[in-house]
Amino acid sequence: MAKSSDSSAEENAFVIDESSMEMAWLLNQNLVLTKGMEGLFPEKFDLSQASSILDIACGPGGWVLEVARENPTIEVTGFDVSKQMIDYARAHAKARGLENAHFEVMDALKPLAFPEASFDLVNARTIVGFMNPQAWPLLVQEIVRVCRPQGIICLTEFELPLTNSPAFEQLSEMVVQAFQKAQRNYFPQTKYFGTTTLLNRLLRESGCLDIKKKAHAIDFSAQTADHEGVYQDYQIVYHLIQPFLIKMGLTTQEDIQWLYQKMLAELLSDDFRGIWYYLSVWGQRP
Amino acid sequence: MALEKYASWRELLGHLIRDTQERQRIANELDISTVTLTRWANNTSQPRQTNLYHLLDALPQHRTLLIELIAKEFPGFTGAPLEHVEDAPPEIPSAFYARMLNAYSTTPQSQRFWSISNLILQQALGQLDPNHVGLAITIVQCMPPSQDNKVRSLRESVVRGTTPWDMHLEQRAIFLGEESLAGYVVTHSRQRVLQNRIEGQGIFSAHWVEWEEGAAAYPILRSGNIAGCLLVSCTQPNFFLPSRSLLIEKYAELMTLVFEPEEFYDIRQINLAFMPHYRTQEQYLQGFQQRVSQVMLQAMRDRQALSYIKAQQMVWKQFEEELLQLPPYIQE
Repeated sequence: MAKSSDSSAEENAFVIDESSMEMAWLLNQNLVLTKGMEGLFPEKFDLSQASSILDIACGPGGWVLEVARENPTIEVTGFDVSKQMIDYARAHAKARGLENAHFEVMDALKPLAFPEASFDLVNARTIVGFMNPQAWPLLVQEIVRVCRPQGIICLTEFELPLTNSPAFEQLSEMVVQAFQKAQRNYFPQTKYFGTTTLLNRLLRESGCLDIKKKAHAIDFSAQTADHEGVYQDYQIVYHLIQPFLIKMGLTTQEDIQWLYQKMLAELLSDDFRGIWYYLSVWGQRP
Repeated sequence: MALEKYASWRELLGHLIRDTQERQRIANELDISTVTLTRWANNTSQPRQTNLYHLLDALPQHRTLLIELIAKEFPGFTGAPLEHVEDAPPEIPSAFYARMLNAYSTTPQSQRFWSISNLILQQALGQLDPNHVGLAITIVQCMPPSQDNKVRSLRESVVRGTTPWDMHLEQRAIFLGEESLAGYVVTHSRQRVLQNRIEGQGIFSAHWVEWEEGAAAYPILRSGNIAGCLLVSCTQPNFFLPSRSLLIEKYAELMTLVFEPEEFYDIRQINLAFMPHYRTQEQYLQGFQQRVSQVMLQAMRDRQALSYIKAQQMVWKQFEEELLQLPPYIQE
């Protein structure tokens, strides 16, 4: 849980403490994901008739700003529980002259403060960090409610990468165990988040039609084009998540520091191999 | 209501867009949403300068009155042809300055460089290249002095760019010396702008990289000492108009937060060598990550604490020494 004195942050269920470093990481990760997905959307959606788009838990707003820039005739809204993130996103939108980008402080774990059928497309990208198994169906119900009939609902989630780095694998296992102890995991007894297996069912049970999926595989092995970006992403996030791992009683400061440095060294090796899988599932609101 | 009785261009616009078809037509011509038009009319949003000129084109029958009314709110607005108008980038938002000061005071030292430099570069790119014409912004850093206490080279340490420059260019991290624009700026401790490839010829043997048609560099200073410079490359010539140059200068000032005090050097310590061409360097630097990995793993085997940052610095220094032994690039 966040330790900020900001009252909204006290309710922030994200496993990483709110900070400027987290903000920089989220902005960076947004670029990594968009590059790995080869675009802001998993496929070329027909937005010619769209007038409004919503992004769930937008963080500092990287995705919203890019969508707004590419689609100047569409009003793009993002919300996040963190006022700091939203203040930053608003300032960024103003500085870039993106009048069609809007940001609100709102909690995705509570009913959304938007009227029914407000948006032509609702997007949620990698929100596993603060979600739990009970919250998912409720959030999707709210997403369906605020999405216009025949609008698009798009969910994108990931599993932790597959690598040949023993230290990375050990750290990843620790992360999953920490999520399990915090009752965030969908699969309580495995070494995966399991969220990617959930997405199709969530949309189907909410009544969505024409459900499609697309898997993205980011090969960040040594000397690949994606190595540097994903390396930076995990260099930062596996630093940021250490307080959570210690808090869950899975490691000590000294041990985790040692393992972290070993991970960094292994990821830089010429024989490092790693692939990061994402899954996007989208459907049409009936 | 006679058009002449409108007190503001927003009021006139509000009248005109009461008709939904007309509202949609104007929005289409300006390539914006109808909601944005309504916000302008309601004075809840500030249009970009270029959009005001597009508005004149969309409403030729009201052009004269619009220019008069717009000038009331935007003194200096003349309706001049669009090619002479610069969408003057706004100031760096005060909220961003506050965020940077917060980052400086709250981020652990080991992560401060990465966090703050990323935030600044992403913000700068967003402001300077909102339309993605093609811009790369590089933090060029002084290498620690050699045994003679002189700074012999600079290194491109963090790069962020819009297309065609790739998102992550750290692996390119080239060393720069006296032959370069960055080297010139650091040596003389003052900014320099090259609006196109013709400028600068004969002053220094700068080698232009692929797609680069204009470049500018701004020193990163603190109490008269220098840490390096902010290097901006553009795919278009004549990009560095006065207001953009001023904005970049402000970002270079913000970069002071990225460096530790000991990373600023007295100007008299700057004695840059000529470095090899970047294509020659690339062949050597491909092995950078493997070397860092080996240094870190060896330290761990020796049960010595060696951070990733320290390991990188050691390996960069090794590369610098090796590259200084190679023939320099001197353009004929």
